[in-house]
Amino acid sequence: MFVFVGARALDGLAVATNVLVPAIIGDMFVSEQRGAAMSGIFLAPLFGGALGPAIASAVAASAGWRRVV
Amino acid sequence: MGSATPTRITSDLGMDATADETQPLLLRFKSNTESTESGGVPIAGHHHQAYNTGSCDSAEFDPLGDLDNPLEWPTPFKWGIVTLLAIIAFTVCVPIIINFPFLFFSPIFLFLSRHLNPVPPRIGIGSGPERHPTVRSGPDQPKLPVPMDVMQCNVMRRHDELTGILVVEHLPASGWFPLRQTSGESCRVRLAVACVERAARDHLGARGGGGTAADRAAF
Repeated sequence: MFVFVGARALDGLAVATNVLVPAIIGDMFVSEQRGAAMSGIFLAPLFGGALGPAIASAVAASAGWRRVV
Repeated sequence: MGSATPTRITSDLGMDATADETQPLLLRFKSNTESTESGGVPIAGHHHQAYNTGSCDSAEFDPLGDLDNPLEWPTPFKWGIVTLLAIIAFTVCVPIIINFPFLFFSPIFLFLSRHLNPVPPRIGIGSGPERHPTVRSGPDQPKLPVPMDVMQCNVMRRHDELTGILVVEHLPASGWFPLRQTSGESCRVRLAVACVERAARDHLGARGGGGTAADRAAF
């Protein structure tokens, strides 16, 4: 149980970086060059949310739902 | 940080009503000419303006070149950081653990397999692989929790998040902050409940209820 809760806490740490991403991009790139970097960063979570259920469903169908946490 | 000539420091900070919308609101800018006339040193690079670094939150870099200045980092290094951040964002938002092959030996997987959703007893011999265990109830068998379906959980979570957006987002900005704050705390409580629930149905309900308030951070 504590391992599970700890894993959720680590997940929260990773989510925290999503909040800081715009500031990081703004520090590294000048305004004329931020478009591509910001687009790629904000596209990644959308891909994750779109592909995740499909991948999880495929795994659940082939290997069983217990393989998907 | 560069230890050479710092940029000009003044004390008149504050938002400028006439500032360009492309410039930071909390830092005042002056042109190179104005900065040089007043003794300041313009920042080298793409900006043709000097920052007013009167705030202790401002960073000072060597105008002649400073490797600590993120704007002067090598371009491949910058894009490496962007790629790393994108991978983190992708991994977090995928509702499954991405290192799937290692999951077979994961303590989390073993714990959930043994405790969260006990495997129903098989009936007879040679009943086939138990990919999708079903609930069997009878007078001689204990009542077992319903197995959690990953697709059902994800769909319920997404729907509840959407509900949260539609409900909370249309509340007036003023006067409803306690409700929003309570909503966020409710999310944490429900996630904690989801972690300790033994029955899959309760876990699913708590997880879905937690999703209702998950988008409070968007406000």
